[in-house]
Amino acid sequence: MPSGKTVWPRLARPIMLVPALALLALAALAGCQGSPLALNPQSPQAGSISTLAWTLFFIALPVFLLVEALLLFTVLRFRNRRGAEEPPQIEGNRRVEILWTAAPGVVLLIVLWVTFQTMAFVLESPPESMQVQVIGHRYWWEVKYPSGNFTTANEIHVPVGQTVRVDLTSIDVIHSFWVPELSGKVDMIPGHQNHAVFRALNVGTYRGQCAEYCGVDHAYMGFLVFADSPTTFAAWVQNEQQPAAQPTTAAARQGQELFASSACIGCHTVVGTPARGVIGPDLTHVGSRTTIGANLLPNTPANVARWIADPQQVKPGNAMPNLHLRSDVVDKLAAYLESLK
Amino acid sequence: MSSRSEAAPAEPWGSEGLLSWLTTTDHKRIGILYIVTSFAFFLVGVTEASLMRWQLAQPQNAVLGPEQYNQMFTMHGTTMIFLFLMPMLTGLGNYVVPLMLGARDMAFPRLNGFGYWLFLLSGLFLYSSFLFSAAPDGGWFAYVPMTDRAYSPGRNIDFWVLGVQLLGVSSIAASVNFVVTILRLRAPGMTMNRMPMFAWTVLVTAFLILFAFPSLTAAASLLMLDRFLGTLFYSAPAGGDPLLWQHLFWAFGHPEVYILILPAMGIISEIVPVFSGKPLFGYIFVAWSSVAIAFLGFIVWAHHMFATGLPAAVQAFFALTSMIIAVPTAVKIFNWIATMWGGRIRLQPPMMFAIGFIALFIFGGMTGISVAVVPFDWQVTDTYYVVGHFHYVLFGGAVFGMFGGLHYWFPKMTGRLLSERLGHVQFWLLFIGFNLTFMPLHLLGLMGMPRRIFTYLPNLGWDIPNLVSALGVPFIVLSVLVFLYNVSVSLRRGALAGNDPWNAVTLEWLASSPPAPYNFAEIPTVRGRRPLYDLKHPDRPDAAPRA
Ligand code: HEC
Ligand code: HEM
Ligand SMILES: [Cu+2]
Repeated sequence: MPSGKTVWPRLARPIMLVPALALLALAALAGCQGSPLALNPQSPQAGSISTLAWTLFFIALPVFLLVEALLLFTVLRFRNRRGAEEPPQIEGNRRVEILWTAAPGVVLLIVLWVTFQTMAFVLESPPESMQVQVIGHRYWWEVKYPSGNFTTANEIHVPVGQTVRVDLTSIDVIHSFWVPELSGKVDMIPGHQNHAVFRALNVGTYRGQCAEYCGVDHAYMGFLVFADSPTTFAAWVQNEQQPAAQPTTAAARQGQELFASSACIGCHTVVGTPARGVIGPDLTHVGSRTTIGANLLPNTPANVARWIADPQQVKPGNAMPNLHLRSDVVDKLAAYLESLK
Repeated sequence: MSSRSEAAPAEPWGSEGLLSWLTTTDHKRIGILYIVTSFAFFLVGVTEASLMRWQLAQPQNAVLGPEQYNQMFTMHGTTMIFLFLMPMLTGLGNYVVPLMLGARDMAFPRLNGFGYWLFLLSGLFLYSSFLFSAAPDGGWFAYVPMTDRAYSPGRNIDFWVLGVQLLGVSSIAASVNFVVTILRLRAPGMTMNRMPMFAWTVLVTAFLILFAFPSLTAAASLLMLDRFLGTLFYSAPAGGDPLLWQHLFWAFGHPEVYILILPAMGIISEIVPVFSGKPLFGYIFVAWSSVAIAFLGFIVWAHHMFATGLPAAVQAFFALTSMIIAVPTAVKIFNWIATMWGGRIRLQPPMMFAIGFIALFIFGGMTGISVAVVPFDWQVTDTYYVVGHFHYVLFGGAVFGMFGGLHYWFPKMTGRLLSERLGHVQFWLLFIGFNLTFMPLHLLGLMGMPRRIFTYLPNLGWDIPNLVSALGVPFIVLSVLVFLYNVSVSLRRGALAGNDPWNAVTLEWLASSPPAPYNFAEIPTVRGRRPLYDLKHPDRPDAAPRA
């Protein structure tokens, strides 16, 4: 029977490796592109949460290792001592019990303090913030710019360096607005107005996704936030404020007529045309967006045609029905929509 | 203790054959019915989970479609909580608590039978939804307005809301029975202060159920009115409020997680002292920490709602209470370790599971504190981080505790020992598989993966952690199969256990294995916390604690 003391370091090493590896993996991920990492903050708000997370981590890690090591040591040290006499029948020790009741209390007070500090910072919403309104729909995002008086969908543009207050609500069920690199989650609840506040620090495109289960296509309810330089942003606003462009090619012109005389206009708006529907995304400048279907597919003529031909095949369960259009009609409609830059 | 029932009611259909099981009012048989049935539901829940993890093993996999996936996680969560863990712990309590107390049966044997049959019926009712292609799909907390008639017009949610209501009645019946049994039927001399810790936690849990379930009943009744009669309690356009559901649901839902974990902690508090050869360290602290958890458990519910835009002061309050509740939990961990310290630890399967429980619960408890940190929770709530967290406490905690309890009490229930070798194999498979499956989920959450998505696009960095997680599942499944094999072999060929195979200290080990229908020919008199220890060591019994 090996004594507990010699066994302990041998067994302890692999156990210690687990958190160490986890830490390494985290560090590696923090640098990796692609995932919308909460720990790769691109706004002061997400930054303060990330700092908080690391603070917590470094408070928790030693506590975790200490308690697990204590457990492991106790088990190995006092195991299987056959033949040993009956251990002393100790029923407790009031003093140490009070101590280990109080000790976690003190640690938690510290945690609570940093919690409140961060909360105050993240919730702060300066009055000069730019305002954007986002309304959740099953399964896409309506985006309104009250200052510019225009509406778009699924892609939110903000100027870098400007604090933005996103007013959030929902038209149907509960959704949740989440752009991990810019802001924590804020639920979008029918009948409630909530707010997310962030200031993008760097030009870039940030991925967001609905974070409250909202139905069949919950997994496909994504969106993008573009943090633009102030000039790019101004140009984008300038363009969005224009009514829809007039088509220039023959196919697109035919598409425009087909669009205006079909069911599309019951659900979609194209400013400057008779299309005033509000069930689906505003298509006035759909050609200038980078994705369709709530960040599901890249916005290419082929994909738009695929979508129009059978939206239920692309994103089963979404609110746009298959209208059973002939493929030449589909192509013309796609040509028209793609021309709406 | 004059009201103690002198014997179990006579079994109207004899003591053998199917009919005798169908009509039994013996707490031990009802306990076994609960245990076997809930274990069957556990297997169903594991199957559903395996399908989900298989679906998520790769981006854009096509094992399950979105509707199927949504039904899977709803039924998985509902099953694991309502049809597996709660009835499993009720079953263990049913079998063990009267024996521990030196009683001949539960206080209300027929009510006991009613509770079991209603549970079975509700479970079958919930699962009958699959026959109508209408399995519930609203998630285990069924948020309105998505579950209102307007957005879930099918029968799916009807099955869920009715099934859960019925299960509530069953749980309340069982709880009333536990409260009365534990308060009224203890052996002479067994004061509250001398009661085994498992009985303590079952008592506290029963009170939790009695006070928490009415909130669920209220929430579900309003939902039923909305769905069946067209009322508009939860409809925002009509002036109702979707958040009302969340408050009512979580006022039940948070106590519910303690309902699941406290009895498991009670099991650990029985196993650890026995296998360390020492009394439980700090009995009073451990008992009262359960009571403290129960009270605090009712004022932490809104920590499930930090993203709903509650006023900052409200969020701060619930962060505070959620941190406070960590303290009595930490106390238990330290007390268990102190119980082992200086002991003579026998690493037999029940103890392995108990140690596994403690090791995993430390992790789950700490991630629990992290989600009470409001701003951090804004990032991780509704992501796989939270899924990781609650599996560490519910699976790593309650399920490991349950397996510990099953290994511990199996000899009492059957008269035979389970194979220790297979027990160790099962433990290590489960421990490794569990960590493989659930550790990567924390990373996924921080990497932006929401929960309850049936698939995800490639190039988000989520592929590898999801694959690792899926690879853990076969270990878990194998471990469960090893357990089933162990049970089936040992039932027939296991070594005979005798009354007291573990050198334990509580009264159930005084009865024969399996116990006679009336449990004890003579009701023992108790003068300490470890009646059997006192019997075995008449020369130096424990000091009798204050009455
Ligand atoms: C019943 C209402 C309805 C009708 C009719 C309808 N749509 Fe849609 N459409 C929607 C909805 C809702 C969406 C958003 C679906 C989603 O992403 O979940 C959508 C999305 C789209 C998109 C993608 C927009 C984006 O930015 O993601 C295009 C393009 C589109 N529709 C074109 C059309 C065309 C062309 C027609 C007529 C042939 C049409 N729609 C008819 C409801 C409708
Ligand atoms: C084989 C073991 C298990 C595996 C592989 C597993 C896997 C999963 C996964 C992947 C999810 C998330 C689904 C999603 O959000 O899309 C989930 C949810 C859940 N699991 Fe498990 N699980 C297992 C065992 C358990 C156990 C033992 C319990 C409880 C005792 C449990 C309780 C839950 C609950 C309550 C949910 C939430 C369901 C919901 O979102 O409505 N699971 N599980
Ligand atoms: Cu959504």
